Amino acid sequence: MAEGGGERPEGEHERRRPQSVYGVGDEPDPRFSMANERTALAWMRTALALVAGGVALISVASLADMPRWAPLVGAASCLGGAALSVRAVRSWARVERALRMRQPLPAPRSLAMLATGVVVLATLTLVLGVIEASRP
Amino acid sequence: MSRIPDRQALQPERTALAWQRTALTAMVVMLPLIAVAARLEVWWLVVTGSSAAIAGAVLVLGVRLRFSQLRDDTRGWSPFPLMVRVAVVTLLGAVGGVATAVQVAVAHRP
Repeated sequence: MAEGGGERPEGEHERRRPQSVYGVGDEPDPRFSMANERTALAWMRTALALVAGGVALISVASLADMPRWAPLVGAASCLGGAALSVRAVRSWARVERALRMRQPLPAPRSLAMLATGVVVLATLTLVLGVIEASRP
Repeated sequence: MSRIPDRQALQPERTALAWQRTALTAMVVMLPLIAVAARLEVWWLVVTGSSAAIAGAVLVLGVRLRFSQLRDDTRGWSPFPLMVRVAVVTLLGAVGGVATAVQVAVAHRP
């Protein structure tokens, strides 16, 4: 692999979108761009997994006689997935821009948010489940 | 001599496979949603879910194009339009999930 990035062909920055990313800096090493792309896709799959988990819970709640909060927990998971998918695209753009500007990569803020969200959702489900089970 | 050097390794293949996994996931996520919406007879949700599943299927087919873009040494290609499409499918799935959750919660009203 060649070191560093290649030269940008004439007029290429006008063709690629978004301009906020491709309108600045120089072409980075393609390996880093592709690694950034794969990382964004991994985040996207995490978002899809949250949506899938939420939809699965809602599906089970619609088939079985589950308490009313169960589909609402599923809905919260779906909303978390939606927010994460938007963040994945924005995060890709921030990192690609940093690569082009030869700046330090921004910290993955979504990681802490995801961990917190999953812990909160799991704790909420556990507490509601225990309350439901202890009812006479 | 290519202007963007040395892309002919395993990197484009790995990236295309990551796209393939993501597109397949986006398509499969919609299937239980469509089934539940059909059971609840919420037809607008069936149509929305089916549209999102079809969009996911188109993404699966689009991975081939992305792979050829990743191997193109003459110029760089932005993954942004495809990425936005995946995000839109995810958002559609989430909206469908929330709408189904509301339907289920209302249907279970005592």
